[in-house]
Amino acid sequence: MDERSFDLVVVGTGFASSFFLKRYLEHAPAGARVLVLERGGQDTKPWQLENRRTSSLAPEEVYRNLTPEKEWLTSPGFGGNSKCWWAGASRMMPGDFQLKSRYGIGNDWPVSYDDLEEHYGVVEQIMAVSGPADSPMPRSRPFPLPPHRFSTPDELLKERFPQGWYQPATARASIPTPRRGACCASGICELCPVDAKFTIQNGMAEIYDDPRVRLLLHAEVATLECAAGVIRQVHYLRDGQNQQAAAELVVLGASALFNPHLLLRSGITHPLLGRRLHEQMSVDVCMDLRGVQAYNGSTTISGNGYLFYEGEHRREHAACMIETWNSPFAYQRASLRTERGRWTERAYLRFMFDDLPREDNTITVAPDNARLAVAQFHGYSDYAQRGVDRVPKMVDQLAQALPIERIVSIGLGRTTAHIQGTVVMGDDPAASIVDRHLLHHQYRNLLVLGASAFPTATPAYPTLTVSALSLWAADHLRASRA
Amino acid sequence: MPSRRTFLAVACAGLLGAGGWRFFRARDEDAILMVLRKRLDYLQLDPAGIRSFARDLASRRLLSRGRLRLMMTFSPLYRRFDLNGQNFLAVAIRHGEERIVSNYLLSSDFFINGADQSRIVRYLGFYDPLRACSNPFARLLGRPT
Repeated sequence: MDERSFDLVVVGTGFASSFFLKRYLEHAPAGARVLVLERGGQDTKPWQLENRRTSSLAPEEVYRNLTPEKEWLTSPGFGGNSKCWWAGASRMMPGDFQLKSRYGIGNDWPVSYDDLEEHYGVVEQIMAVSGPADSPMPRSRPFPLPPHRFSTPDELLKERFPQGWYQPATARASIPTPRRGACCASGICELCPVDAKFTIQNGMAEIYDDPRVRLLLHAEVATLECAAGVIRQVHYLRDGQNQQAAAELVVLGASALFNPHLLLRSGITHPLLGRRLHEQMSVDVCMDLRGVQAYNGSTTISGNGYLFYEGEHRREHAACMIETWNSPFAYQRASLRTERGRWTERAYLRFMFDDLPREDNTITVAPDNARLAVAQFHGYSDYAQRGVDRVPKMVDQLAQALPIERIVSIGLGRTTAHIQGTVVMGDDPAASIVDRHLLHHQYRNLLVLGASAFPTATPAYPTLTVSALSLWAADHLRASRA
Repeated sequence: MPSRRTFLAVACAGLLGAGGWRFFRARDEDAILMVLRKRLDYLQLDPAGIRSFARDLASRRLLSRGRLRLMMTFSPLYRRFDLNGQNFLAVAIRHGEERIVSNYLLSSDFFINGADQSRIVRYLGFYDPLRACSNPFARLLGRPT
């Protein structure tokens, strides 16, 4: 076989690519040839700690944000966004997959919770996810690691709302694992000083050492060459030279910012390609408490509220998941109080709402520099805004459990760091770009993985679903080829 | 004899000049020290330590220099009034105070010593969350609560 010819070419090394590759290698023959192209560098953990950032590539080197008041967080380099994530690893709720059929809103996903349940469990094992015994969604197996310890406000909320408040499902280890330390609530998860959160670097790097795999860092994919309904070659730039790799199968796992950018650069078109860029709308509420000490959970986000998540209200306004932020530093509003003896009598909650994607929020190619993706955001949906408008009422309800002395601040979050949409999945080729197994409707040897395929946002963290979908896609591919 | 209008104009100019002089002469460290002394007046703060802390915090540019200077400009008013309201000014000032106090207390031995208010509080070095497991409030699994 030609040195530049491969069975599989993978673009990106984040969650989507790595979980697909892991499953692919489990069943690939000994002589399989895999090329992995990663735009960034190794960016090792010591490098990150020394430089106090997760990527050696600055955001402006990879994309242009036309609406900077709306942030989109990304971390190019080996491991992708696993370097900068805060390790929230919740599953989506069953209703998240069926918004249209259950609530008459948005779109249904072409896959169901039941389709992914087994894969969710596998991903939780690989990531060593910590979580409670009484999870709010159906599960066929327990969490691999014991739950984290609540903060005192979480304990009060759990006592008052036993079916609405839970320890977080998180890949911030609650106890040490063979590869990771236990989380100690440092409050700076993107650079976790004890490497407690799962990353591709600390949890899956061995797949890139497989003798069948050739990993090229600093390899920037430019275009996919298409002919007769298949992708023939991947063109990339490395060491200042244009290079090509022929592939039987091509997998894009470059995130919802860069998957559409690459497809658009390649002349692959669809009316929806690059559209529906979205993530959750979030509101941060800081409140002073009377006589309750907080910030004393065992991890940075010590509780998740599901009171306002699933239910008939989703017909009218966005669903909500709540986070209890458990560190008095490292982000804008949370801090200690100044009064004697009352330093930690404060709760800081984030309310995250699902958004209905808008087609005018887009990723395009910079007209003056095709190497740059361009993000443009015109706003959240009215549906999400109606959910946000209910935050004061939600706080009133939480006051049944928390002795709230006063609201210190309420503010919209600039990002939830969960970029989604842009290469949407569905059964109808006219209304979607990839099918339910993430295969491109038109180019059947092209998979486009990751949260770019999400038809709608959900209040839940997307990473576990991204990873489960990659396993699901790899399993289907193997079955269909068999 | 100057007219009333002239007198007012001269007085306003004088006040503005004095205020401007105070603003441009103000140092970030002094504002930080003023906040610590006001808000932590119930603690015994090591004087050399809080000066070192003020220098360290100011050098990190974590706080708005303009706001710190404004606080110094109006320091006689700031020291006198408690600003406990919910109006924009009070909330903004309180937020700045809390950031200063939070950084100081976390940078000191105060919580390490069990928040013992009878001891002199000593500055240990600027708080760095990247120093492993330095959150004094976390109740970790496997450790007694």
